Amino acid sequence: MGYYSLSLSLEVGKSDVFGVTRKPRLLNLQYACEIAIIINVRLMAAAVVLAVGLSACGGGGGGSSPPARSVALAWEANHESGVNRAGGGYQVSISGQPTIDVPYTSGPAAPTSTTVLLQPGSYTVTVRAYAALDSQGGNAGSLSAPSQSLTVNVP
Amino acid sequence: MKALLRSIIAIAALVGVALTLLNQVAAVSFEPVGTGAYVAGEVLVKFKPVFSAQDRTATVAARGHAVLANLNQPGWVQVKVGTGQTMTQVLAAYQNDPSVEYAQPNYIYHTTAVPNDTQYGQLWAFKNTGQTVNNSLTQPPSSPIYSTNNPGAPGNDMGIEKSWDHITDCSSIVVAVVDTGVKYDQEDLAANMWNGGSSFPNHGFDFVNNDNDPKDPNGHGTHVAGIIGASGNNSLGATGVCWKASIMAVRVMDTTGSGTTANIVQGINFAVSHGAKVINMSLGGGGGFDSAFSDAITNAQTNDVVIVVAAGNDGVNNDINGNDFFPCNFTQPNLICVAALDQSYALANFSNWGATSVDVGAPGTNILSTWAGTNAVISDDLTSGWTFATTTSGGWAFGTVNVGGTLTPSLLDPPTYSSGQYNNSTDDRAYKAFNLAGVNAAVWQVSEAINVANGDYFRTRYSSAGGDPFSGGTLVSEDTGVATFPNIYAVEFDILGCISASCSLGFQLQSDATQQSATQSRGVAITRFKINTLTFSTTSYNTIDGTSMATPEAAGLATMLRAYNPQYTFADVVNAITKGGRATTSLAGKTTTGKAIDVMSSLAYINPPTGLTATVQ
Repeated sequence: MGYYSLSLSLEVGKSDVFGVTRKPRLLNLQYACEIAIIINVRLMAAAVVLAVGLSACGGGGGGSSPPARSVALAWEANHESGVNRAGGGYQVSISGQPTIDVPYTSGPAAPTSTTVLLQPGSYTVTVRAYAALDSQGGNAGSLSAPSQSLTVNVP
Repeated sequence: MKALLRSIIAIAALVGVALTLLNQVAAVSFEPVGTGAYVAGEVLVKFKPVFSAQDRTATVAARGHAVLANLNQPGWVQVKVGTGQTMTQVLAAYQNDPSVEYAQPNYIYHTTAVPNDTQYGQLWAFKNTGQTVNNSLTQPPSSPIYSTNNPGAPGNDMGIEKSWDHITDCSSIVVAVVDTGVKYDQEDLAANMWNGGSSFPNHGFDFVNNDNDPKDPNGHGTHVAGIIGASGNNSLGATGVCWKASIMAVRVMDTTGSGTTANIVQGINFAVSHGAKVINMSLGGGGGFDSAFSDAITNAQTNDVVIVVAAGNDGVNNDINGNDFFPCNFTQPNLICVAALDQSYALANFSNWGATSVDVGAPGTNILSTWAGTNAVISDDLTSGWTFATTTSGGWAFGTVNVGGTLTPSLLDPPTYSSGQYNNSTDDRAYKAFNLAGVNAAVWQVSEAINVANGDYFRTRYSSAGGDPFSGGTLVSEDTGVATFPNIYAVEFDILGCISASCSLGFQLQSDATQQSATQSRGVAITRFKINTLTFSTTSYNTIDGTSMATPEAAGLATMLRAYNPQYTFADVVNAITKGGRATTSLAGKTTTGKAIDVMSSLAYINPPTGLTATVQ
């Protein structure tokens, strides 16, 4: 985790294309600017011409890859106070994808929805609720059993 | 080259900014990292030693945060963070900062809550240390003590002490004790009674006497109430599951501990309509499905009320046809039925069970709790002091009856009982006066064998004025055409109206002129006679056993769960109790869950989310 940097090495008068492409991952939509960065550097004399392009996830790929679709997930709010205060929230599990954390941030309740980008396919989705309190009275946290699973087909 | 260098730096910076956003996202762990109870909007950050206080302040400020304090521990700073970021994001940002050694939430700790109530050490249900529970600490001394597994195995308890670090005040939830009433001015209960306003100044209602004074002349309901919500940490007596509570007293059972469907149904509906969200009913009986009773429980369900009931004290399997025990065997989802465990978490020898009817177990032996007053027993050995009268000959006489192989002094009519017959056209009376001055409740207990033909009568009566109770007294019972012989039955009567310095209690055998067969007119034998009295006190406690005592342990938990989670429905409460319990060997196959209640586990239990939907956009 941290800052990424590039070191470029070009000969004068040459040009090249550098690709910095992060592996696609599932994110909450508010952070879901999956970025492919293409840097064109042409060194001409002492001048550098830069072109930096940012493209959204799923966009601009090869012609054979259909675009990812945005999928809105929602569920009923849990009634446990611990879920709806600091240290509480939900975990969204989607088959083949990393788990998504939907934590309590502020207000009366933890969020009960999230939007994800998914490639075409069939996914099994479940949600668990969590809270800070554990069964020994400590702060190790507790996790609910999964909700009933939902099959989502992304065309 | 300087231009190139600047450009490279610029590229790096640009890429760095873009990827930092991603990295902050990527840094969000999908585990509930740092899920401990902590101060919202604060973190503690330890900076590397080379960084001065000024550097630390600048670094924090650069993130839009503020230093609340430099702790008196090298490098540690208490930081107020901005809004809009999760704890995980904030921690990740600091941990990725090269000037920072460590960052963590500002956790919240609590004192370990153990109440200072004087008899807390006897409350093994809350803290089982392997203590021996005795009856010398209660006034009056209770007896008999349940001797099996006393002391028991340490650790077999409700796991409640840790929960008291999180909640002790359940007063936001009204819990109704539908029982024999509650001694609402008892020292450990007075502060925790429901505020019924001007309509119910005595904290509930009495459906036995149909008035608004549900004071408990028995003690049972007071004991139940104390288990749920005796004031905790007040340096007095016991503590309840909840240290603070709002207990509604609903009297539906009489002084002897008996009640009717009509009274119970009215009691439940009263509790529901006056805001109770948990109802404790440490009562029950067989006799078949009771539709009116069932309807009242359904009404409670409709109004989101949890009802906790007792499994019964017959030591039988409620699932077997003929052993049905209601309300335990009702199937409404808002009902929790509770068995009793002893101090080693064995099923108490008196406790009913049922793999489909009983849900959980809870401590139910040697349970100390609040009591309504001082009990005393007036026994009579049936050998002297009785006045006998007859209109014929013979009539009542002292004698003996073989009771379980023992010749037992008894009152007999005819004197030749059980080989003879009573006279035709006779009026035989036996009575004796007892001093009940100063007591607040009295229950007359009699063991009797009756063989009286139809049209002839065996009666019991009392008179508070002394003398012959069959001349102006009060009728207590009347039997005709009854033949229990040779079996002896125990009966008991509330004789509140007889309380005086000269309470006369009597028996009458009155026959008509019809000659009866010898097998229909053997007469009556009184083999045991005693009066249990209760003198109200606000400082009494008692140690007793029963599924009646296990039930309020669970009802107290239900109340605590609703107070801790104000949005909880009855279904949430039932789930938290039944799924959050502790697996217990003695309950496996004997309850629906195989679990004993565990307060801390239920408090930490989280229901699975529901209603998941997805929309592809």
